[in-house]
Parts: sequence; C-alpha cells; structure tokens
Amino acid sequence: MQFSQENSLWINQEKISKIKEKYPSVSIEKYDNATFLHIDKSSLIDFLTFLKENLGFKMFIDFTCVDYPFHNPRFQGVYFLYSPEDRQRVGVKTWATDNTLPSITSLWKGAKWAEREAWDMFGVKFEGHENLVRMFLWESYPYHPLRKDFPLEGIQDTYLPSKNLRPEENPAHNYTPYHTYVPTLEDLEETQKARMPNKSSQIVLNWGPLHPGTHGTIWFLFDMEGEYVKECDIILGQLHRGVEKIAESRTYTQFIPYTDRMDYISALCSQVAYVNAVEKLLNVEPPEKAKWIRTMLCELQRINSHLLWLGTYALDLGALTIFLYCFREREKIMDIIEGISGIRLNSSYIRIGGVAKDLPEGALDVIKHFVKDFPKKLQEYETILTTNRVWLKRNINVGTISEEDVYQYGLTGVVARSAGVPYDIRMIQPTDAYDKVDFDVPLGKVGDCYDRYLLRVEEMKQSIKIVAQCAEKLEKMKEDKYIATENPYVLPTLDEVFNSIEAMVKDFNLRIYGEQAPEGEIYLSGENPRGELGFYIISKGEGHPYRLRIRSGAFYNLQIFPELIKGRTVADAVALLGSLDPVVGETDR
Amino acid sequence: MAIKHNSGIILTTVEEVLSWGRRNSLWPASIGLACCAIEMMHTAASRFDTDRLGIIFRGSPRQSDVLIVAGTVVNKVAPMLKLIYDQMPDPKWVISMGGCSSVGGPFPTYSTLQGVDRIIPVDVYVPGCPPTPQALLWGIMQLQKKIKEKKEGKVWDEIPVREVPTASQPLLEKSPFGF
Repeated sequence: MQFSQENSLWINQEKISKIKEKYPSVSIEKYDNATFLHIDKSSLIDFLTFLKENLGFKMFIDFTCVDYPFHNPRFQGVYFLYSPEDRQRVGVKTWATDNTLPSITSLWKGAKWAEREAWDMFGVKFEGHENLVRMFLWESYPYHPLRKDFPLEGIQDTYLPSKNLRPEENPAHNYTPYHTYVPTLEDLEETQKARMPNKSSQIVLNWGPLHPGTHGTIWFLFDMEGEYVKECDIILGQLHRGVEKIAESRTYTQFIPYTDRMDYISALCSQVAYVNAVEKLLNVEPPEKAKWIRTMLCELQRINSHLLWLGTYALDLGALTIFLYCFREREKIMDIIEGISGIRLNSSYIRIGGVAKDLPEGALDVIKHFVKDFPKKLQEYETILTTNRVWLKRNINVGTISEEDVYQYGLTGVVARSAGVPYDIRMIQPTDAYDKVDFDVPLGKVGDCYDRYLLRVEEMKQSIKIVAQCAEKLEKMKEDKYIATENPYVLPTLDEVFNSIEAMVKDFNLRIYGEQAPEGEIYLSGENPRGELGFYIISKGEGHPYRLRIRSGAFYNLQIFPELIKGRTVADAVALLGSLDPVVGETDR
Repeated sequence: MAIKHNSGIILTTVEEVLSWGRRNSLWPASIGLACCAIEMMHTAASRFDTDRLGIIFRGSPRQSDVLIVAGTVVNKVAPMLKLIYDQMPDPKWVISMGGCSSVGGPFPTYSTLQGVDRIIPVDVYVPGCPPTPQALLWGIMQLQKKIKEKKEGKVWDEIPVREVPTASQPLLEKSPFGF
C-alpha cells in the first residue's frame, strides 16, 4: 500500500465539475498543496451536506477562521474535509456576514469545539450551536485575542507586582508592575457554571485541572448519578499560551522552537510536520540524508512518546513497575536525542532545508545497539501486562469507538486506527523517507482501550523496524550534505557564515527579515503519535505567516471523551483518558 | 553546626534539628503544568531517583512542603495554583522550574503569566527550557542550602561553645578551642 509523493491528496477535477454542475456559483481557489471552494454563507449547510453525502467527504478534519480586518465581512471560515474512500481532501471557505456562521454540529459533532474556539478567538457567533461558550479563556474575558487588532502581549491593565522584589532591589530593564488581568476564582466558577447549564444531579464532580491523573491541566466536570457519570464536559485552556498568535509575529525559522513546546512529548515529530509544510510553501527540497535523519528521529520520538504513554497509563491503572521500566528506556532514547541535537526534550533540531547539525560520530552505533536491545524490553512489558487479569478487566470494552465516530469527530492517529479506519498520514501522504521504508500500520477491530494498548505496542515494534532501516541507510551516506544551503531560503551553516561574505549577508537577511515566502496557502499534516498534526499556513509574501492554524490531533481526539464516559464510572475515566493520550500543550496551544 | 560530645552525646539546638529534618525530607506536591513536568517525572523516575534524597512526590498539597512550579503558568491556571499554595502547611517553599514559570519564557503573550512570582513568592529559580533533571536536583540542593542557612532566632555564633571532659574520654591536650 504505497503511494507516491507526487500523488496529490486534494480534490480532483472530476469532482469539481460535479460540484460546478450543482452549484454554479462556487469559485475554485487552487494551490500546489491545497484546493479551496468558495461558497456563499446562505447555501453553506446545503453545500456541505452535498459534499458529505454525494461526494464522500464524510470525515471532518478541521475548522478555523481567518481575520481580514480591511475586508467586509471581516471573518472567513475555513472547513477541511476528507474523503476516506478516494483519499482526497477539500477546503471550503465562506465569509461570515454579520460575524455569524451557521453551526455545522448537526453534520459533524466534531465541529462543536472548533466552533467554540472560533468564538473564543475571533468572536464569530454560530447559529444553532448547543452551548457556545469560550473554549480556552474564561467567560468574563472581554477580548477576542486572535483578531488582528489585538496586541500579542495583551492589555496590561492590572497592578500585579512581583512578590519577590525587595525594596532595595533594582528591577530588570523591562520589568513593569502592570500585567494582563488574572482571573479570580469567582471568574472560574462562572466559567464552570456556563458549561453545565442544565445539570440534573446534586453534585458536579471536578476532576483536575491540577490533578496527577489528568495528564496535564485538563479540567473535567462530571455530572454524577451515584457512581455513574450522566453528563460530562471538559474545560480546556489551562495551558493556552497563544502559540497561533505568536506565529504571526515570528519568522518561519523562529517558530520552530514553539512547535516543540506544543506537543512536548513528541517534539521532533511536530517539528518535522511544521518544517515540511513550510518547505512545500517555500519550494525547498531537503537533501536525501536529512530526510532519512528526520524519519529515523521521528520514529525514535514515537517510541519515546508511546513509552511515556505506556508508563503513565500503567501507573494510572495501578502498575508502578511499568512506569519505572518505561522511564529507564526513555532515558536511553533521550540520551540518543541529546547526543544528536544537544537538548534532551525540546530539541529544535530540524531546520528549513535539512537538519541543524550532522549526525555525530558514533550516533548510529548507539542507535543500532538500542534497536537490538529494545524488543527484548518490550517483550518484558507485554509479559507483565497483555494477559494480566487486572489489566484485561480495566481495559476490555471500555470506551468503544465505532467507525462512524471517527468520521463524526475527526479522530486520527491510534484512536482512529483502533476502530479499524486505516488513516495514517505516513501512508496516505508520505513525506521525508516514509515512502522508501517498509512498515505496517496495525489496525484494531473493537475500538476499545485494550485495542489501543495493543496498537501502540505494535507501533513501537514497527517504529523500531523503521529506525533499523534508516540507520542502515545512513551508514552509507556519511559524507553527504545534511542541509540544502544552496537554496536562497535556507540558513547557511555556521562554518559558511564565518568563511564567506555571501553566506554572512544571507544569514543576516534571513534572520532579520525572515523567509519572504511567496503568496499562497498550504495545508500539510504529519503523523504525530497523537494523531494528525496539520499546519494551515496563509502567506501574504511577508517574512512571517499571515495566519498559522494548527490542527491538533489531541484536541479532536479528546472531544469524544464526554460521549464515551456517559453511563460509566469515574474509575473508567482514568483508563479512557489514558488511552486517548492527550497532551495539553497541543490541545490548548 | 552541632557539637559532638566526647561520650557520643550530640548537643544542638531545636532549630537545627528541625532544619535538618526539613531539608532532608522535602516532599513536593506532584503538580505538572507543561513540558517541565516531563523532566520533573524523569527526576523522580528510575535514573535520577529523588527518593534517595528524601524527596517523595505527594498527591495532596496538604501533605507537601515544596511546590515545584513545573511549566508555563497561564493566567487561567494562576488562581488555582495560588489556591494550592495556600493549602500547603507552613513552612513551605517554592521552586520555579524553567524559563516559563520564572519570567514567562518564550511566551510574552496575552494569556501567559509573566513569572510565577507575581502570585506566589519564589525561593529558587531553576533556569532552562526545560531544565535537565540534573538542574532540578541542583535547584533542590540550593533550596536545602537555603533552609540550612536560614537564621531564625539567635544566631549560633553568639552561643558560647564549651567541650566538657568525662571520665572515660578525657579532654584532648590539643583542644581546637584552646582551653
């Protein structure tokens, strides 16, 4: 099941002519890596229903808004849909007249949170949305931060001096006692109440946000009846750092470290997904060696991520030993990554046009040793867990996901594959060296937590297989170039900067003015351990993106949690959350 | 700081004993906010193993005396973090781990708290993005040093020192104190 890299993943001419027949008013906007259909707001729902039912675009991928302050109407909604049968994507754009759009939650349940986010960030209202509350910020927050006229640093209107500052101390040159407004506990209580307008029971159980079991800072609200959950909602935004806003004022290279800090457990995968999107936008082709290094490190990072998942998941379900074992192996991978990139966790190693440094002497030997050693360790964990009675009872038939759920909620990654949907970006749109390596994508049958456990363990084995192939290939490329510095968009290496004046000028220009990307739009995604991580970049020919939307896999995967936990006990919530494996840095951005 | 008596008796102050006990059993509340929490978990796990230093992560703030602020504190989570800090019993200390919690780090944005010291007083700042487990251990040792050197009540130097000879162990001829 191999697809060539040239195979476009976007809607083909045949379907476009079908659309043209039915909707003559639709205009087409075509780019190399994205195709958009413009439709009037009045016929949007009708048009999307047509796409869903007649043309097979039944999977919801993403929804976002873009702000054009000098255009009337000001906001544009962008929908991304996917057709699993034909392997095609399509983007649909529509202008939000009067700052309102029709809600598409009747077509796809997965749009619920995306629409809340658009309301929170842009102030676009949705007609027919069941409970339009703020997604990330609190209810009484007066601004909509992703609008172009809102400053990045916010409105600093509250006197909030440092508590550490002594009277005789000289504050830093940029220290100011004024700060953006910090909400009070009453503000948060109001936010919580807005989430559950029709609560029925006496007790709403709060789980999180600062709880060791919530894998970060997710805030769960359980409307309980006895021990069973009747209604559930999730409050996100306890790690909302405004990454999408930051992207609008940073150059393309400067944004790479922020992609690390989004999904901090799989930093390298996020970097590769982002850099690939930017490279397609700038038309940069990285050298062959860089592609193989990226693929190898991505897979190492995937093992690393799945090990953290296995360790914490087992810890949550009561198996402390596995946690310690997994962290032992994680330390080995982190040492390898530290040896190659210099940093343990948020490595910022990938650059536009290649990688930051060459592989150091002996890196491949260490990796080969790890590849030999790791399957034995994995076997040990499986011996402890796979047929363990407690493990089976906690996992089997908990949180069963059906194929329909996958399309409705836009589930991706392991969560989608556990329901038997073969959705893996590495297969359907291979980037880097994924089309040259041999690996399988395991699929589940039932879609419960136990399936997801088996899939992740199997994925680790497949990843080891890919790492071994890459290490073997890289052995023969020792002398090759690792970054395509001859391209005008690629930063020169330090050596070149010190030895040639042209490289120095180029380095200066790129660092100060940024990569002047040609005008255009792109949507490209990568297979993160948590699902599809997509980057939708709009470039207006400046050194920084006009709008950078991050389609987070964990955000959409987490959305099905309230649906799955209904009628189950709180104890199952731990298992279910662990098996969905969200990372808050990515869900909140 | 204690005086070892020749017969095996140790003389010290209550304050010293309390400080010794406190600094060698720092129990942090296990609260992770962002990336730094992963490195904090690594510090506690198999390789670095903080248990050997008496550092045991507790699930409840009421059982802990150190708050390791591991990760970005955003405005929305700040009041909850303050609540947790208020729930901890005295004496309590705060370690600010990483750039984000110290000064906002790489996120000078509308939603990020520019330094956790705006809401709670901080004892030790650990630099890094994220700090390595070694750096966090260094930070914890700095805190231990700080607890040890914290001078409360009478300063030790002001208390006169005497060694008393006993029958079984007479005073050495060359006493370090010169009498």
